[in-house]
Amino acid sequence: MESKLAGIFLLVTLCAASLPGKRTLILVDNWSIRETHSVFFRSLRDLDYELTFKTADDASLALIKYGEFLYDNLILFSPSVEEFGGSIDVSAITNFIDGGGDPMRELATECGVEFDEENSAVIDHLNYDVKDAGKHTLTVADPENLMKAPMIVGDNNKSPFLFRGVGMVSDPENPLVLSLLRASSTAYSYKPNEKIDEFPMAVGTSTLLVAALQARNNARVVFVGSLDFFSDEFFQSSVQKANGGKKFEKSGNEALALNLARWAFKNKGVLRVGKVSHHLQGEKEPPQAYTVMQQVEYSIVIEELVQGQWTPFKADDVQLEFVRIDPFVRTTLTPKAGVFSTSFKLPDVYGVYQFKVDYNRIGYTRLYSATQVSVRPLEHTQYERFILSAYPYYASAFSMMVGVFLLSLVFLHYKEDVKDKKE
Amino acid sequence: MAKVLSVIGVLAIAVVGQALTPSSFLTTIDQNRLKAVFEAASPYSDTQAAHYSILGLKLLGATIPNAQGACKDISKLLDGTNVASIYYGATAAKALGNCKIEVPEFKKTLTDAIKEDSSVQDITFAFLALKSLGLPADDNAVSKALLAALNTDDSPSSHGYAFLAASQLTGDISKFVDNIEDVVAQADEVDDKYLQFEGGLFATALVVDSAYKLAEKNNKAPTIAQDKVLKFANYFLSRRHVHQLKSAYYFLSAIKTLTTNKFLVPVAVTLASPVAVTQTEPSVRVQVTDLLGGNLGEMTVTADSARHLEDGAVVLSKKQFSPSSADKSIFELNFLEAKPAKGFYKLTISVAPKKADPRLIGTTGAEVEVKVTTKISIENVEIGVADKDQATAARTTRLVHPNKAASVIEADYHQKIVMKFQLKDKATGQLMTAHQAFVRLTNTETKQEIIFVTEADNTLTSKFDLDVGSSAKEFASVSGKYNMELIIGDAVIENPFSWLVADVSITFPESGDVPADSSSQYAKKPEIKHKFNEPEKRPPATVSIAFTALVLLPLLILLVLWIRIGVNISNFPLSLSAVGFHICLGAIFSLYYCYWTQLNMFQTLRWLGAIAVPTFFFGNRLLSALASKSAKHA
Repeated sequence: MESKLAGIFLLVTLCAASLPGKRTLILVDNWSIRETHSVFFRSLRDLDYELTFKTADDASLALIKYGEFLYDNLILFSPSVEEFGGSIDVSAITNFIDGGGDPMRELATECGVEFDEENSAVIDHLNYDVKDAGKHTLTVADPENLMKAPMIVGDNNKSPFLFRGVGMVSDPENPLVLSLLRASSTAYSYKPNEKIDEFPMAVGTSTLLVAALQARNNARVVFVGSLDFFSDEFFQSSVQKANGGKKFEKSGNEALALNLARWAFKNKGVLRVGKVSHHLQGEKEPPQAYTVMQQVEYSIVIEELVQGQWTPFKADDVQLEFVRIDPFVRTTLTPKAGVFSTSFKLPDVYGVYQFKVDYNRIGYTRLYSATQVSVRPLEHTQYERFILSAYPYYASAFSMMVGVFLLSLVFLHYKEDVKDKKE
Repeated sequence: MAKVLSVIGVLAIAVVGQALTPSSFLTTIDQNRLKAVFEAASPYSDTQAAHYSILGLKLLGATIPNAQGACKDISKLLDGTNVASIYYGATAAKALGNCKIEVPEFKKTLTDAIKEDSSVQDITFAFLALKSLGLPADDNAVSKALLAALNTDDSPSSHGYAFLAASQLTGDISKFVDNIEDVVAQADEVDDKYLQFEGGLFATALVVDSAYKLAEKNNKAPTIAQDKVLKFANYFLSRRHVHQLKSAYYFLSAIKTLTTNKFLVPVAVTLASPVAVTQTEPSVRVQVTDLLGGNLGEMTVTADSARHLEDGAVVLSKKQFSPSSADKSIFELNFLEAKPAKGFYKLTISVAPKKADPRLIGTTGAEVEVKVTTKISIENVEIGVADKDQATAARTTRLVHPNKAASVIEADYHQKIVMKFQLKDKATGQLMTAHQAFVRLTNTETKQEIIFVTEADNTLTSKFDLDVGSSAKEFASVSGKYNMELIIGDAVIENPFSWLVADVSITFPESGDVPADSSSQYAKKPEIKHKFNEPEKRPPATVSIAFTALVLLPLLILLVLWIRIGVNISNFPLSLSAVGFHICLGAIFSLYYCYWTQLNMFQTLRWLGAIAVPTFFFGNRLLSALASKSAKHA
């Protein structure tokens, strides 16, 4: 029973589209998921997503046709599929993210998330819901265990979340995996009917319930080890910890699920770089090359996609780096109606530099803008000419010139004395 | 052969009979949720929404808010040329009562729709709309049209609509009744427990509901086997969280039909007490109702057996439940009287009405799962530090739950922390193990937690051995103070706990760095200000001026001495070449001065070129003149 209920859920979005797309393919194990998860799907439809349902072993499945992606987003609600049908396989989906056996697990492993074995479940003997069927696998996750990533999970999660499914662990070497929802310290992931004779794959807070990945190309993937997490039943259910916890009338699942879906489908947290300009202070156009120690002004336009419209982005932590292999200057840009600007003095080291804005915040697309400029040393006339300590040198040179001038006069036109003439 | 067959048959029945009885019913919470779904449809977007909302609320026995307003809305939303719109509007208005809708083109639209090439749905809608508007309909034509339409489209939902129409037809409806068996045979079985049609909840509910309505009309039980009815009922109950208006209505209608029809009424045996059977709550309570939670009258409820799920031990058989005094539909059984061991049990229950009722099905083989839990105590807890090579015996301290060790336990990488404890079942006094017996160490500063699993030996004593030196990797070699907690939990333990056993101070040979927070890559980075090269230190102005004076001194001395000895340059020839040469020479030196003060190299070279030519020319002339003069002199 447990393993049937436990499901793996995936939300994938595609990177290639310049604008987040609405075409969504949902792969299901059986058609009843359309009914048992109707609230979730209806919420997606309300956000104008075009949903296409297919069974995961449908022979006509295809993600790409004539080199074009047929869908912009992909939902895999198919925990028990043994082999994908049609032309979809793990590499097709990883291709979908990049540009046989248990495909869901393999896919997760490709993304740096590892699901626990089949028939295992997240168990928590101290934080389980009153409606638990006896094995303590209907666990309650507190909102405090949620990662502080308001862009992904929303910022108003007060009710606990119901979770019944398999646990995950993330690859510590993969910095792109975000541990969105962790289990509590007393939880662990194991087969509920077997005695623990080896170390569980996930224990305590290292057990992930919800994980997300934003690839370097800004494709987004959300992993959830529980299909029930998205069901109408859990959405509408009340939550109460069995050992005398506070009762919440409605679980936080619906709000969190919708936030996760909106984030994964690039409905929010999408940024783009607009015009980048740089020039000398008081000028309008950039020069051929800058000279060391000049005062330079830089500005960049950043826009955020809000409800399908590009609007000026608001933030006070956008930083500019002036980089020649290593950053020489790193300064925070001042925002003004979506234009982020600053003014700074170029370093006294010449070379080829880049103005670099690398804005990487949790939940936002990664912004990267680099503009290359060269900075040259001072020309020979641009150095200091009248150095007080060098006056002895100047004076000696000019006294020499005066001396030569006078000596030439005297030497050429000297008239000997008459006395000499007599001799 | 016949014997073998019969054995198989019995087995099949036994298997079928085992878990088919619905184990839940539509509670008031579920009904309220459905009510909310129906109420949320108002204000209505079309007559379909009005139809399902009003009829759904009526089924629930709820009042329709603002009935007059709803009636007006329906008249407004009605499209007189659309059969479905008229049907939904007319039936909704009829359900409201006291609501008259009348448009002249109704009759034409509806009678036009009853022809052989219309869809089954349209024919049904047209016929039912005529009925509810009180207009005459040609039953024969409807019957013929329906049968013809079914030939082209024989999907379950079409048949469902046809049954619905047939249940209102006068005349021969045997063809439709005969269809019931064929249609039901098309249903797919899921998990041996559910039966559903491909169209999902809507189609399944429509077919079951209308088949029973047709059977009522025909006054003969529909040809649907008992186990199939139970499987349909199970399927409906598994979809009780339905949210779609149309499906919700048919779902409710089907459930209602399954409780009120005169042929087969499934019995639901629901566990009414918590899953856990404890010393304080030793009874198992079951509620025996129809699918809507209605009382089925006096019953005898017997627990046929209770089987331990792991070892298969049967702890009781043929034991009667006693009716509860508070609620007539609830029956109690003190399960702990059978002295069951802790664990999960499956109770097989059969019910028999005191007054025989042939309608009731699913009366045998109902199953409920309960678990017998127990309180535990933790005893003989010893904690201490031992040398790694075990040269000396461990110094241990005894602890009593839930107290914390008085002193901080200190261990370095030559030592290991050892802990021993036993878990005792409070009810039986026997030692036992728990599924979860973990030791959790939390760094008091970084909050990094490391969890270890304890192992139980043959004597059921659990041991925890932490070799500090070899587990440096787990700790990332971070020395410091850790909180040591023991977490004990199991599905059958009533009092799981997390006990702060002691504070331990662990020292590793080389202190590792606190592992970097992986989220730091998303943080704002520290600002960098470029450090400009500092200019070299210069001597004071007076020194420079003094030395400037000093280097000018020789020139001064030269001039003074020349004046002293009285240089005589009266040989100066007043010729153009002489004057020109000296002026040019002076100009070159002046150019050098300008080069210093303002000109750049290229300007200087241009000027120099310009001056150099006359200088050369005048110089040549002057020197040759001087040479010829001195030659003449000689």
